[in-house]
Parts: sequence; C-alpha cells; structure tokens
Amino acid sequence: MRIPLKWLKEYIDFNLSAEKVADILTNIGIEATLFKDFDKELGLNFEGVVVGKILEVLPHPSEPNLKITHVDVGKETLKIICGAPNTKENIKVPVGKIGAKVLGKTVSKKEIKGVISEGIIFSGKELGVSEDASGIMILEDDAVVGQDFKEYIVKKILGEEVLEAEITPNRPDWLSLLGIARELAAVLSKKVKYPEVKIKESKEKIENILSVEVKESDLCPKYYARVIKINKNQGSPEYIQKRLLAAGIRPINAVVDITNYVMIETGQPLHAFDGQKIEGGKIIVRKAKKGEKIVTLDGEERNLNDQILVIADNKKAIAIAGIMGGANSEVDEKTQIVVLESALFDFYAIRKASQFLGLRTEASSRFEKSLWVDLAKTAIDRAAQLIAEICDGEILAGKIEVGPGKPEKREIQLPLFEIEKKLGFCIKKDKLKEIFNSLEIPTVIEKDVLRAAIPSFRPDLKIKEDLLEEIARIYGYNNIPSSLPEEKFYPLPENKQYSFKQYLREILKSFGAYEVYSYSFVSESLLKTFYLDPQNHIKVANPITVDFEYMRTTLIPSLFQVWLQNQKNYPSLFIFELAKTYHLLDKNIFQNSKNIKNPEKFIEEKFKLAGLLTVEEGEVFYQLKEKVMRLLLEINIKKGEFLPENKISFLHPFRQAVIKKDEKILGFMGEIHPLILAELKSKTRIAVFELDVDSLFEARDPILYKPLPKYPAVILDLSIIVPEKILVADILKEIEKVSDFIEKVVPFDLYKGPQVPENHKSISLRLFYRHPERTLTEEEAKEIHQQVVQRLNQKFKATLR
Amino acid sequence: MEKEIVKIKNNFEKDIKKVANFDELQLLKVKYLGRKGQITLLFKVLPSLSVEEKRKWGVAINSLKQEIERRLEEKEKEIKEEVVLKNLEKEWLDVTYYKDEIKIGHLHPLTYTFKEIINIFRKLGFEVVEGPEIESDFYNFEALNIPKQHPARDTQDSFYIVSDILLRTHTSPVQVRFMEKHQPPFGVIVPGRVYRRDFDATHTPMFHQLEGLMVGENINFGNLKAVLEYFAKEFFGPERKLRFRPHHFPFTEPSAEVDVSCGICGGSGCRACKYTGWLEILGAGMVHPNVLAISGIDSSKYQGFAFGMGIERIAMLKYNIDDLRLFFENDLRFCEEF
Repeated sequence: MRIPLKWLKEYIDFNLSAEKVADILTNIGIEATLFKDFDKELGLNFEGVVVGKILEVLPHPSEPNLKITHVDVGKETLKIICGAPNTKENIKVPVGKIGAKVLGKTVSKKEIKGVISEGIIFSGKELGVSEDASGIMILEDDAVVGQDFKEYIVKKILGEEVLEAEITPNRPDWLSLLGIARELAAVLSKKVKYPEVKIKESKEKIENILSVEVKESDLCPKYYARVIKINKNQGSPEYIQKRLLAAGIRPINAVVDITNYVMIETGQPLHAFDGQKIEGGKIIVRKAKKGEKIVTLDGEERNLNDQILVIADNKKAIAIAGIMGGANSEVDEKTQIVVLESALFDFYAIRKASQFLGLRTEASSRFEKSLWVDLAKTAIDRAAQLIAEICDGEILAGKIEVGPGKPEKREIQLPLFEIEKKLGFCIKKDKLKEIFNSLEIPTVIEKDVLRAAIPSFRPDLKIKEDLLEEIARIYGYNNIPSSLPEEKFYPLPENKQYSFKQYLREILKSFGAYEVYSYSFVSESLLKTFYLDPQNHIKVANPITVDFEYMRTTLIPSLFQVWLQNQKNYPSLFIFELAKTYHLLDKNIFQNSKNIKNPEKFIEEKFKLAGLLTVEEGEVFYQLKEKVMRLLLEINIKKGEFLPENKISFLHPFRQAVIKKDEKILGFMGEIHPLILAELKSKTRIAVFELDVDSLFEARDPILYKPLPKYPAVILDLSIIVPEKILVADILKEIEKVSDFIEKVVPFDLYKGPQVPENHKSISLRLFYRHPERTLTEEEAKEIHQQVVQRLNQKFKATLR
Repeated sequence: MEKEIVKIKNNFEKDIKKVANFDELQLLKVKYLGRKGQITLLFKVLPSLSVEEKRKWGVAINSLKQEIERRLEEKEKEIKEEVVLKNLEKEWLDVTYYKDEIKIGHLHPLTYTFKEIINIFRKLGFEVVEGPEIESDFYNFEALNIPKQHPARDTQDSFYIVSDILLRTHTSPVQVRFMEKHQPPFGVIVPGRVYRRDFDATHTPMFHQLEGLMVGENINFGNLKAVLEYFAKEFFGPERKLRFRPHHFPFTEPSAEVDVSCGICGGSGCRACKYTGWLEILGAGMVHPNVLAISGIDSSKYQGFAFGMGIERIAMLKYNIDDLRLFFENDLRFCEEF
C-alpha cells in the first residue's frame, strides 16, 4: 500500500517528517518505508529525455502539416520537426535527443522531406506519463531547460512524499488512507477528518434505467448501484491524477480515476460501467458459464471457469466480479451514463478466481481480504458525489441495494486483570479508554471488565486477546517492560538424542571431514542412476522442478552429487551429512489420505549419518573403514562388525559391507558401483558409508571400569597364507576360541603378490597373550600360539608364511 | 695430620677450578679418590694412630672425602650441561618452515548457528524437541489456527505428498505435538528443516527454522521480550538492540515481528539494513488460545509465548553471507570458511 503523505493530510492534521510518520506507523504494525524508486512504479520507460524550450517555430518547406522548431535543450539548440497542432514558441516541452530511449525505441536522426530532425518532441502519451495524445506535452513554468525530464515528471506526478507500507492480511482497513489516518490519529491523539458526503439526486429514478439481480448471494452478499448521467468525461483534475500516480495507479479518465480515488481513500473497490453498453438495462451477478470468455480492460481475453463470479447483462459478462471490468462496458470520453457498482464479494471466491486467472488487481487484493458491508454503502455515495461534481453530472434518484448482507455487531469483553497477566504491565483505566477511543472503538468499563463494541471496519477483532494486542500496539510494544520469566519449573530432561547428533558431527569434523547440507529431494533420474526404484520413494505431488521430485531414502546420491561438483577443486575429499531419510511404510496412505492426523504411521523418517571419501592413493575402502571404525569407538561401540554384503544396488557388489553390532544393523559401507562412476564421470573410486543415527545411539556400550592387568602380556606375531575368500573376521573369531589367554588379535598386514600363491592372501596378525592371575611365560604363550596355527590350518587350510 | 688435610683440601680447590672436561675430571677423581689417591693414602695412615686420634682423624678424613665426592658430582653435572648447551645450536631449526597446506574438518555454518542459538536457549531453561518433516494438514495448519481458506494454505505454496499430507512449512506443528503430550509449565525449542514452494535468489525450497515455546501460568509478553533480548545480546553482541513491531500470525495474539539493530551501521542506516537501521530476525507472539485449546491445554489457566526464526537468515547476518543459495550449493570452499 502506497501512502502519499500530502493526500493523507486531507484526513488528519500532522506536521511530521516522512521518516517520522514511517517510524510511527512501523511501531504500530504498519511497516512503512520512504518510497523513492518510482521509475518502474510509474511506468517511466524512457532515458535521455530532457526539458527543452521552443525558441522558434518555422513552416516546413514542403509539408504544410509539419513545422520546424528550434529547441533550446540547455547546452545546445536542436532543430526538430514537429507536427503537433499545439506547437508554439516559448513553451517548455519534453525532448528526446538523439540516442534517447523511449518505450524501448531509440531516437535517431531523421530526414523528413529534405529537412533533418535532431530529436523528437513528445506527447504525454508517447512517454507513457499521461493518456493525452492530442499534442505535444506542455510543461509548467517551473521546468528547467536542460533538466532530466524524469526528475521533472516525478516531482510533478507526486508533488509529495510517499511511503510504501506492508499491510498484514488481517487488516483490510489499512488498505485505505482513512484506515491509515485512523491509526495515526490514535497515536497522535487527533481526530480523523472524514470527507463530507452530500448527495444531490435528480428527479429521474434509477429504476428507469437499471435493475440488478444477484443470483449468487453467498458470493455477493451485497450489491449497491447508482447511476449518474454525465456531460463530460475528460481527464480528471490534476490533483486527482497526481495523487493516483503517487499511489501507484495510472490515471485514465475522470470517472475511472474517481472510482480509484475513492478506493484508495476508503478501501472499497468500485467499478463504473458505461450504462449504454449494458444491454437490457439489467445487471446480473452470476457464475460464469463453462467456456465463457471475456476481454478485460487490459485487452486480454480471459477464459473463465464456472466458479468465477461475473457481472453480466442480459447477453454477456461485462466484468469479472471484484477483479477487473470488461472492455465491452468500458467507460470512456463518450460515456454519458455511468453505472457505479459498489459491492461486497466473498473473499475466498475472489482469491480463487484471481489465482485461476493469474490476475491480481488493486480491487482483488482488497476483496480477497474480506471487507465489510457498510463500507460499500458509504463509498458509493462518495464516488457518485465526486463524479457528479467533476463530470458535470446528476445522480439519479435512489440507490439500488440487493443482497442479504448486514453489518455485523459484536462485543468483546476483556477482564482488566488479564492485561497485566498476559502483557506484563499495568495500565490505568483512563489510558485504556483513551486508547480505544482513539481507535474509534466504543468501550465501557464496568466491574473491572472492559466491553468493546467492535466497529464494522475492524473485522480482525474477534477475541479478548485481539483487544490485548490493540492495547499493546498503541501503548507501544517497545514501551512494554521486559522481564525474564519468574515462573519456576523443572527443566525438561536433556534431549540426549539431539546432543548425540551434534557429537557425531564434531567427531567427523575432528577426522577432517567437511559437513554439507543437501536438499531432502532427489530426481527420478538420479534414483535410476543409483539403481533405486522410484516406486519405493515418497513422491512430491507438486515439485518445483524434476530435481526435487522424490524424498530421499539414502543420503549417498546427494553426497555423490556434492563430490561431482567439487572434484575440480578437490583431488580428494571427505564429506559427510547428517540428515533425515524418508521411508514409505504403508502405501495405503495414497488410497485415502483425508483426515490423516499422524503421517508417521505411514511414513518413517530416520536420521542418517553418511560420509563419502575419495583418496589419491591406497585402497579407499580400507581408509574409509578405518574412519568408520574410529567413529564407532568414539561413541563407545566396541564390537562393530563389518560383514560382506551384496544387496545394496549402488555399491560395488564385491566391495560392500553391512555394519552390525550384536546382530543389529547399524548401517553399511562400500565403494560406489563402477558403472555409476563411469556414468557420472567420476575420475576416482569412491567409498561411502551410511549409519542409522538412532541405531548408533542405542548400540553404545556403557562405560564400565575394569581393573588394569597386573601381569605382562606376551606378544607374538603370525603370518599365514589362506585362500583369498577366507574372511579375516572368521579367522579372528576362530583364534579367540583357542584359549582364554588370548587377550586380543590385531591384523596388521594383508598381502597378495608374487610370494603368495594365486587365489590366496597372506595375513599378518599380532596376538596378545595374557594370564589374569600370573605372569604367562613365553614358553606357555608359544605353546598356545602353536595350537592357533594348527587350528587355522585345520579350519582354513592356513599355512605359515 | 691436620696440615695434611688442609693441604689436600686447598689443592683440591685449586685443581677442580682447572677442570674443563670429563677426562680431566676423571684424572682428578683418580688423584684424590683412586686406589693411590690422596684421600685413600690418608686413610692408610689411620691404623698407625691411637684409638682416640683414629676416631678424630677418621671423621675428618671421611668428611673431606664426602666433600670431594660431592664437588666432583657437581662438577660432572656442570660439564654435562655445558656439553648439551654447546650442542644446542647445532640443532637449529627453521621454525618458519611447514609442510603442505594445513587442513581441518569443517562444520556447516548452519550447524554452528543452530548450536550457538540452542546453547543460549538451553541456558534459559528451554530443551530441544524434534518432530516429523512430512506432516499432516492438521498439525501444519488446522491446529495452528490457520483455517482452510487462509492464503498460507494455498496448495501452490507448499509441497504436498497427497491431499492432507505435506512437507511441513514451518516448525510450529511440533508445538502442538509437544503440547498434546505435556502439560505446562515447560519451555521447548524446535530446530529443523522446513519446506516451501519457492525457488529464487532469496528463497530455497528447503530451509531451516528454530521455534521456541514457553507456556506456564504467568508467562507473559514482557517475558517474551526479555527472553528474546537476552538471546539477541548473547548471539549478536551486547550492544545490539531489539525492536518489536506489531504483526499478524494466525497462531499468536498479540503477534510481533522482531528486528535487531543493524550491526554494520549501528542503527544509523546503511545499505545492509536498507537504510532503516533494523534487520528483521524473527516472528513471535503470545500463543493463540485456540492453539492451546486444540493441543489439550486449558487456555484459561495457562498462557505462553512462541517465536520462530529462519536460521539461514540469522546465519547470513552473523557471518555476513550475501546469498542464501550458498548454504545448499555445497561448494566446499564455502564450507571451509567456517
């Protein structure tokens, strides 16, 4: 909402700077700033146009309709050919010099019948600053020769300072200058000066010319019409044109301008029809027919649907209700009978229609916020009066009123103790009354209860909390004393799961990993690249782009994309993300989702921790595995197992592992499938892991002290050769079965190469032998060691290397 | 005898001063304490003396011996230290040298922002709760007093899965879910991902919010102000001020938008704050009685406040980031700056 301040002064006296007014309005909930950039707003689509003064007018040698002018544009005098009838000496005009750009066209040197023109003198219409095309635009005396015409015209158009305000949707009354004035009056303790409406009706009755039928009274609870016979409809008075432009509305002609003027003044959108274009003298408010079309005032043909409300005559739609008029009933300079409409339309219907048509207007943006019925009643008289005055017209006797709409009367009670209880400060009864008085809300205080009679222009006030807001607003949010809560209560127990997630992030950071945040969505093509079935994914019904169509079930493809994007800057990297994945538990959700309160019965969300590693040398799998093992130890999961797996579609079938603890699956790791690497043009092998955060949280071992060993260990190494596919995990388990005195076994080398037979591998292990109650001798240890060798030989055909 | 002892002592003093290295020290040791050393020789004289003299001179010689031993040890330590000190310079290092670019791990700026904010609110007695991102129309809208016809419910503004299931558009549904299961008093904060159907220079379809909710018998608007002021001073700095502007949200009444004074110009107006001196950081208000009621809380007994902030916006202000999209483009060079 644009607020021209000089215009606003019509309704309230104040003598404050624009900044101060903006500040006051902002502090009561109308976020306002000084509006400066009118270029786009006023549709000023020209550059390089300057103010010039015609010094001399000479006839064109061969063309009687053209004249040659000499125009002073400051530093130079130009010779310009001009055909306008109002061309004369000593007037100031807008001049486009060579190179000036006007409405996308560049002014160039032109030769007309042997005479060269060094520029163009424009009409208001040619520059897009007025509708006047009858001649060149004659500027006022205060125009300075050589001055940028834009500067001149903006000053002319506005003649005042303008604020731009953001209006919250609960306050349609603020979409009017009277509404704004009311708020300002409340703060400044002033009275609003409402415009005086005096209707002088002629003897001729409106019924002779017009009748109105409302077929959809739900969607149009009230329709008022008046008819004014006018004698002229030229441009509206300058002050109206300027004010409209300042408010962001282009002047058209007097009647249209007045409807807009009254809309900005009161907040009620009005529409004027040319009465002679209404066939049958009857207005019908009905829903559009299937396939019905209308050309609106902007010249666009609009396809309507059967939910859209239209204003029609006997034969055709003549306006889209509450949104825009039709070209077929447009008021123009020739109009003699003006039919003025002031109605109340259902806000939701207007919004739906406006959305469907992709057409938002000053009118629709007001109607879609639910206006009130008596606004329509007063606004129509105000507009009729102005039209009669300005267009030399007379108002026909009577005002047509159709529809059941009635002003709503309600009272809200506020017990006074609630003010301190809810807002935290005390206020005297006098001050309280003053606040509501200034807001034009009549109140009575009886038995410590404030009773407010809510005026119709405040549809937002419904419950006592709304009154509290009014008190706080006018008292000033920033004047309310701050105080920390005094109420004492037991704090909630720490959300350890949440803290755990933060801890996991810190651990990975300490490993040198970079954290990323990627979108929860993935595209179908990415899923397919990763051999994931889109059918098993939750699909967004209305994605913005195909990249955001499915909710991911694993973070790996997203991490992979991050790698692809960064590989040019990072020859190797380690990244991770901790985020949710989304899993479909029950496809019934798609059968009937109506009134489902708890989607978690059908959809499971799990926090996952996933990482991706690339390296410049070495086996990337083992390097990542080391990090994952360290991660598990950091969170005190001592017995995490990594077992061969082949079911994960996007991983290398022979380089993937499921990560378990005590049969519980914690996650997986592996290398990305080489086919995927090839398709996505990754230059290196990539290892990834993904762990389920809740499973990790549950799997943590408690920390329990056990006594330190009293006796020394004997450490013996063992290198064996076994068939390739024998798992180290199985060898370790087998060794531990041999004796209770084997404290631990640590693998330290894996080798395949010349000294090892084909399809075999060499494994080196370090065994720690220890007796809990005495010193184990080297001989004793060696004896057990020998048994280990035998057992491995029996079980795995292991031979000593 | 006494003369002998004094003489030996004086000679030793002279000798030890001349010692410069281990070899000379060794010679000195032999000269006095060796098998034919001067002290050893003195002891050999003892048997020839009377019992009384034997005791007297025995003690004296012994004490001389101990003195000499002590001095020799001292000297040895001195020489050792000198050797070490002399060699130190040979171990000179160029301390300005280092190998390779030094790299550490990095957390995402949003993680840091969340962590810092949550720590502040935890001190004030708020605890973290979380909730689902795929949410029902009921929790996301209905229970928050956003009626069917409200513009916020335009289907084109939210991501729908099916007709009544959507990606939550704010963290507020968790308020209702929490209150359904807990009776006041309590204070909770809700961090999480939220989704809106917008994608341009200043909107990403996914972003993050942090919601706060405190309900009790007397939690009032003044409390809300104090809690947020504490937060702003802790997070942005003690010199920063807050401004509360009346606003409208369906789920709070009264409602406010809250601005923090601009950190760049200090409030006098600059490009960053669009010459207003203020930067909007969050929305807040007293929980609407309808929201309390639908969550199973007696709104005639309990009242409280709620607030919600966009974490990207807060992080942008904190770290002076000028493009929202950087958060999710995951250029690791961006990540490295934090």
